[in-house]
Amino acid sequence: MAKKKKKRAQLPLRLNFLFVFVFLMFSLLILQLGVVQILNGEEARQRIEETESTRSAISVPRGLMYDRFGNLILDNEPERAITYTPPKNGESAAKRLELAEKLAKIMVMSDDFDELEAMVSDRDKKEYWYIGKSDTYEEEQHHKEAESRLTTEESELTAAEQYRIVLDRIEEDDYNIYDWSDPNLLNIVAIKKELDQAFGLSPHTIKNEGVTDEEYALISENLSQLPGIDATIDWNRVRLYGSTFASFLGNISSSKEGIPGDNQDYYLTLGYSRNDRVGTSGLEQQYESVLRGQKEIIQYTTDNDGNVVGNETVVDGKSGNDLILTVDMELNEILDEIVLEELEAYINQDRNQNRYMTDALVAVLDPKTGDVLAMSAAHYDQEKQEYSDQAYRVIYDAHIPGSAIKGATVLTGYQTGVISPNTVITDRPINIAGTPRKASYTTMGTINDLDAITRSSNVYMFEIALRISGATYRPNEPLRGFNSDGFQIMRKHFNQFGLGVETGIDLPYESTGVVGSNIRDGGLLLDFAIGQYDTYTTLQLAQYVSTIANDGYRISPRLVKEVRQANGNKETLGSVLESNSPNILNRIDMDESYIERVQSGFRRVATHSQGTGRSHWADSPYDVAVKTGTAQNQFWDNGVQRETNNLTLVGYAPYDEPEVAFAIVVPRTGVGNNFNGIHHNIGNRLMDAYFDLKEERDQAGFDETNIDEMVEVESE
Amino acid sequence: MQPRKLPIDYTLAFLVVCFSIFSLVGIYSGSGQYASSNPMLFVRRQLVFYVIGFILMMAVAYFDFEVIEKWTWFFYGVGMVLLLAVPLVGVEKNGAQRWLNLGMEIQPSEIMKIFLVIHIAMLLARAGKYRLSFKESVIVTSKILLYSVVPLYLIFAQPDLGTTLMIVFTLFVMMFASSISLKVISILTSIGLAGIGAFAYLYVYQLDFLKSILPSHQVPRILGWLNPAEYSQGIGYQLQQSLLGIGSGQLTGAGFRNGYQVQSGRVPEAHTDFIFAAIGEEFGFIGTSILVILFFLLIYRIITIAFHANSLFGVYICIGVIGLFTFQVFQNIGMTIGLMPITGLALPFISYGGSALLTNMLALGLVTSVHLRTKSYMFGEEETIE
Repeated sequence: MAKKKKKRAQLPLRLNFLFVFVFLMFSLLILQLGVVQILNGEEARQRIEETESTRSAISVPRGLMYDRFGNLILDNEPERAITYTPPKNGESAAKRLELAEKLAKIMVMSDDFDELEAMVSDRDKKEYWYIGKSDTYEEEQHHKEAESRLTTEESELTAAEQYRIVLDRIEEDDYNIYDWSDPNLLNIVAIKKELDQAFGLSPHTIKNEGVTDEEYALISENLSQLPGIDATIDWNRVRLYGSTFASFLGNISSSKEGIPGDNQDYYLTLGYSRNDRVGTSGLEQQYESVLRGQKEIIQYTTDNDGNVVGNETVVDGKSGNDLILTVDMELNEILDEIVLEELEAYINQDRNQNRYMTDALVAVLDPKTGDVLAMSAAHYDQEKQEYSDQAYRVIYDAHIPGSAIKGATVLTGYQTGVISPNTVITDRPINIAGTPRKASYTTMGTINDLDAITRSSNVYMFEIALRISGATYRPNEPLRGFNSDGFQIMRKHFNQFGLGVETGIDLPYESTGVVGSNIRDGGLLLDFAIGQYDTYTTLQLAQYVSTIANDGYRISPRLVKEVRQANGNKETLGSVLESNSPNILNRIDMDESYIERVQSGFRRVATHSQGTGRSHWADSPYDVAVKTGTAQNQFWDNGVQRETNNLTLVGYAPYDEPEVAFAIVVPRTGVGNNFNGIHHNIGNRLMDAYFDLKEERDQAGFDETNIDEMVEVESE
Repeated sequence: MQPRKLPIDYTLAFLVVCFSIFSLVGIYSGSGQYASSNPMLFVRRQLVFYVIGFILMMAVAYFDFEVIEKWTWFFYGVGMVLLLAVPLVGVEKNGAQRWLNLGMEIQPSEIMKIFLVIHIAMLLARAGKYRLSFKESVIVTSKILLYSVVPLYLIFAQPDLGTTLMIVFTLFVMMFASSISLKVISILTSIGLAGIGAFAYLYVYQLDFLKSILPSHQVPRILGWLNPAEYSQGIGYQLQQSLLGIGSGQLTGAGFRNGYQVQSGRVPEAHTDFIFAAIGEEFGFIGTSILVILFFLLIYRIITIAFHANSLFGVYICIGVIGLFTFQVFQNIGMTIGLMPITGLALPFISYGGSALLTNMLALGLVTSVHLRTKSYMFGEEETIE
């Protein structure tokens, strides 16, 4: 022990060191706490309060539509709108009423008292009574009174349930303490009703029709006193060509209708809001994703109470892209006029004979590209005696086409090998036991395929059908060996022309016609072969004739040629984003000489001395090839069988280098001999219009392949 | 040695009561996000642990710590057995295997740190109170390293970097305070500093290599601490939210149960590892500095006890306990305010958790025992340390 004492004890010194060390470490902690909590505390507090953020989307103008020559068809018109954007967690009913009262002093929902009255329901009146006037004691009184009507059991229900019952129990006598004949009061309640429908941080349109200059100006000036209210611009679609082609342009929903209810989830997942306007028909629907654009997205930063403390544009808005359509609006306008005039004239020729006649339908395509140049249909309402443009019928309505489809029958004959070019058949009436006599309009004797088309022989087509079905015909006996596969074979071949299947047009809906269901009856197959069984739309017929004109290439009709970027300027077009090239659906698998044979048959219909279209087309300067059809269209009217004819005409021009193909269908015309020219008249005038316009444009130096330059020329 | 009164040091007991108030209030506030249906769940349990802990502290204090000196081997052995059992039959939670299920879940590393401190205290006490020569120092140091390297490795491999560093720090503090020659201490310090220097070098210049040698779960923790903005989605997010919460408390705090960050669940583990964030946000700088001062008073009291102790073994136990507490407090508070990287170390006496609380109370029991024995020899001048 004594020896060790000479050495220095280490502990006290080092313990002191340790103590100082611990003291320093703890001081460092307090120092850092001071920095974090005192020095930077205020900033931290603000940052926490600002951490909540919500996104809100602002609509942008929808894309425009131009025709193939760059003429604006569908425009946007700015429309002033008053909107309300409630705070994030909504606003109390009393606050909304207060706001509605302020707004009512500077705007009216409607000048018309009846309209205003219709906007306010009994429920709205009850709610108004329940809220009460805040500057009096009503608020408390009415609440108490209403709630006193709840039974003890009911007062244990959820707030929403209670509210529903409370409203139920409010009587007419209660809310009639107010003067509901006062338009000012109705106006306040109507405005409040709109405010009620708004969701947190999402702008809701209160009024967008007939916002007056004064209202707009007053609201703009007083925005600071109207929390959440904004005076904005909404967009309205304006069709610059009126009803022409309107049914194909389609419609969009209003902001009140919003996205379609039956497809809500689909739209919501695509980022739409419930009150977004979307295309509901036609091209507006088909090209919704192109036309809608990119909504501007603003991120609002809110504090814990839901007050907006800042905003930032997260995604810049982008206008919807423009569509360049294939349609030639000038031609379509003229065609509309022709169709209407011809229908009207024809019906007026003999109102009795034509009393079932309602429509005339035309589709015009470029057979090489499938471009829809024009589609037109006039409709006559026999009861109201009114004419209207119902162009959609071109793709919606299917009719029995008659002989116009014989080109397909003959080509089916070649392709199945039952006939070949120059096969000769004897045209004579056919009598199958149990079915009406079948014949051509005249007995033609021995004819070949070319004659059969030129003169529109029915018997030649019957023969093809019989051979395909393997049936043996003996006069006045039932068909022997009829194989119902014949229907399947023939329809399969017809499908290659677009008959009986979708044409592939870029619209949300098209009819494919009615396919006859009875395939046991051989007689019906004979009817099928001459276009007297299945029905087709006018567009299908136009595709059929285009396929023949286009050497067997079936191309889907298209309405949109290009998608172009919106450049915020209607005079010049934006740059091309997407160019739709012709969509070849199929090539008819056969020797080209077969198609040429049918082409020359069609040409002979117009030019040959025995051609069924000769009288109307022989003098035409446009080298037209056509095929006529007159289908017997019997139907029952009040128990009486009525006979009418569907007049059809398909064709293309010029014969050598087809650039325009058309199908014309005029159903249910009177059967008298005087009534067989309307389809030709329409056809003649259509060809005149088409080639006149073409010449005009050639002379003016128009070149549709370069519409950019053209539009600039126009705008100068 | 016949204690007439309760085996209690009233200063320490008073501090423990203060801690228990902070703890229960903090746990009630911080556990709301986990047990909304029964907000008292964690509070009740912690209260029970406190009661048991208090009894444990008095029980340990009642016994003469010097008896333990002969038994340190035994405790060391028990601790090792438990630690070795962890990789074999241990329970895994959150990617780490630290627990044993013996009826209740215990954390062997918690127990081992105390047993190791006792064992090393015994070794250092045997070395005497006078400065050792370099050679003697090397021998003692080697022994200490020999006994600690295996348990340290086992704990590190669980993986539990926090506890490993805590024990390393504690052992260093004990050796620093001991009679080991300054040369050896300097060498050890140099090695430690060199290690930190190497880490800094790798972080700045060879980040990819550093990432490849660190345990994968530590990479984001360390990198997130050094650069919270870049890691703000993962571990940096916790730090960011905790910093914002504590900062927003400012001088007086948002008030009990009113801290937005804590109550909205943005601060994770607000009743355990991040309980300081709950206290900081809701009681402000006043609350946090009072708590830090309480911890300082605790350390101060233990140092005072060590100063007056007349047993070297008792002194080293006190220093070991100081090391353990200081490291934990500094590390835990430091990580919530961005001074230290995030490790899974709880705030002693405050964070929810039975194992840790009981271990800490046991440590205080030992310190109390040292203090009580010292009083008995109040007049034995010869035996006190100068």
